[in-house]
Amino acid sequence: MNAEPQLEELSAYLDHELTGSARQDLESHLAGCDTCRRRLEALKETVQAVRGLPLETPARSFTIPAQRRQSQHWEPAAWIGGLAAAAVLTVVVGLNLPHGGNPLPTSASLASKNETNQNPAAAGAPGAAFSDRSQGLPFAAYANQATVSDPAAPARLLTLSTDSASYRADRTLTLHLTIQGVTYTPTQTSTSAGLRVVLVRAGAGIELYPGETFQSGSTVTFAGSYNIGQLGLSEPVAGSYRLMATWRIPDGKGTTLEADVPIQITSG
Amino acid sequence: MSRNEPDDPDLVGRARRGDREAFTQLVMQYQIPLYNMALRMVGTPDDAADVAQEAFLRAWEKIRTLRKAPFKPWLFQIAVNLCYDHFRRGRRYGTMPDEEQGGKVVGLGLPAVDPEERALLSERNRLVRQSIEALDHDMRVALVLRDVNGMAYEEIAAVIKVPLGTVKSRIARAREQVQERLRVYPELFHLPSANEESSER
Repeated sequence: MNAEPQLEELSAYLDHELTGSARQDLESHLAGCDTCRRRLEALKETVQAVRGLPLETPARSFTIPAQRRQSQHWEPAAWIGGLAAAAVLTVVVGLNLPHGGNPLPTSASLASKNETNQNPAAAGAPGAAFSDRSQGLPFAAYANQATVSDPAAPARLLTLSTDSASYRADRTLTLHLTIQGVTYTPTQTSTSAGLRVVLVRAGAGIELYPGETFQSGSTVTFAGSYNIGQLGLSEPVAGSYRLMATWRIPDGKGTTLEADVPIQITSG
Repeated sequence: MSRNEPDDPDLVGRARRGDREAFTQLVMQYQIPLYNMALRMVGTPDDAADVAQEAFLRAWEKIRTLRKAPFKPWLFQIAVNLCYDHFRRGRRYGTMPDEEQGGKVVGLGLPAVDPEERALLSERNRLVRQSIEALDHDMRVALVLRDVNGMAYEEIAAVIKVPLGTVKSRIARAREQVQERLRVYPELFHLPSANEESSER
């Protein structure tokens, strides 16, 4: 009988990774050795126990941005301020959240470069009107959400939502930016559709590019996931931020809708 | 897909040329195996999803540099490196999820309708996960790539960049250690000892 096989050989044999004479030698040894057959059986049971662990599905889907991350820089947000300063109306939106969560203090604003004296009532009453409209969105389950409509065309809506309002600095933030009531061509990116989304704090911000696109009729959603640790946020990273979305509507009037949600980043 | 289905060269080629739709199809193809590898490595669903998301992002950013190397080991290599980064940061190292913490189960689990049988299976799985958790990182990754992802030794060697003999030895030692831990529960795992009397006699 051949020499007693090593553990490695028994293990490789189970994986069909033993070939030629090594395999033949082992099989001939096993034929005459109860002890090694029991060793092999125990190893086989162990392997089956590990392989018997059920495969699981991730709780979220994985997305790829249209633009590569190298283009992102934390920078003074002067270019954001132009839009923010033009905001003439802020509406606190209370949403009927699908899973009973408490509405977060989100806001939605309308900024119009040409029409700076909008009638506040024209933006629609906060609360019910927005919440009803939000129900049909593809990602309405996201709790941290703000929606604003265009007073000149109430069916035109901008919704910004994130999968949470608070993240650890080593986590991934997923955002959805939905526009409704617009003619959209599938080749458009979020940028060419007139959308910008920035994460801002204390006058500095970073632009994010939600690259994944979903369309259903006149509703288009751009989605993106960002590893917060990779964004290059200035130290200390932990703190209170706002995620601001602007949509420059291609209506020739310069109308811009703006929605933002609070983002809290905590240390890892 | 089968565990060792080869890459679709057309899909990988298109992704290399910047076709995001093609890359998204690769994400769809690999998200379950990659997530489950990460889950068995880092333990919690949140951390595993973060690892998988970051691995896909990095792969997308670097796929243009992928020459003739096969996509799958390359992608898994990125994810394994992220798992090692995770260990180095010392986050939640050593913790593994309870059954209830996991995501939706999609396959390979044995159906167990009887509540008692189901409870036993759940306990068995918990102990197996704990035994994997107790392995050192090098042994754990070799075992997971082999027995969770079904990779061949050569493929594992390409992922973790070690010689074939090292792969063979790490897998064997990992299995031995898992076995010794499971042996403590003879009511749940039938693991004959080399010295015990054969039941056939």
